[in-house]
Amino acid sequence: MSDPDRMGCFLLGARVHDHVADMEVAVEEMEEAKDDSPLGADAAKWFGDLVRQVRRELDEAESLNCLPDDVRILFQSVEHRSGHPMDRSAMETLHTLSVKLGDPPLLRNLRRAVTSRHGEKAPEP
Amino acid sequence: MADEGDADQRLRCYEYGATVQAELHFAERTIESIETRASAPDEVLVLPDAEVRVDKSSIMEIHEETLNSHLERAVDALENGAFCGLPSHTIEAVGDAYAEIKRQVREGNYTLARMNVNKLRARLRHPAVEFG
Repeated sequence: MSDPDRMGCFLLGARVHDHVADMEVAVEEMEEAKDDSPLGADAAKWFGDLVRQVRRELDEAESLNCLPDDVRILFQSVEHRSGHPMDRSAMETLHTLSVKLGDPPLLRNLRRAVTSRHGEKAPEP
Repeated sequence: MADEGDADQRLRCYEYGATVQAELHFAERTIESIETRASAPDEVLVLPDAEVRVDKSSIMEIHEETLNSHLERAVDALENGAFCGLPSHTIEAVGDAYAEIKRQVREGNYTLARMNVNKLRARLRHPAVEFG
């Protein structure tokens, strides 16, 4: 396989997850703007634009055979809710998609800090 | 049609790219948390299984450690993904920015640190990265 294909996959992964991170921000803005319809509408439009953008990027990744199955499935779940109010389950799915490839160390660090203060074994996350 | 080895490499490249962006995003959010904590009083941290009082300097320390973890993971993903063909100057830029961001946070220049993380995110999603 040539380098451009591998780099294309790398950049698609970067772009998709950058946009997914923005989708989380858009959802937060939609929530904050509950009583302010113009701002809420702007955030909803941004969210919708991001969904379409990510869909195009995922299609491109699929055509390069580098789209992980679980990313496709998680995104479909979010995509089906686009245009509808985001319920807790949809928010959790979006967050799962956002953190899927990372291992957020915040909770682990907090647990370690507590363990060192109490001399106890920290519960596993 | 890609063979099994190629397909695996493509998937790994996608995942390395995604990991870099996810970690930079978390780094940005962590700097926001540090910024918020910096102006907050001491508080009680509630964890699922314990309630403990942790002073502000400890919380800041934990957040800074978290920030470093995110930045280190972003650098690791970039270095591990070197076979994906990303320009070496992009990999070096992230390594350089890592030290700079850590210093800015230590000195309380949170806005500047966030801007630098954001610039890295933009650099990785911009097509210019493909052409150096």
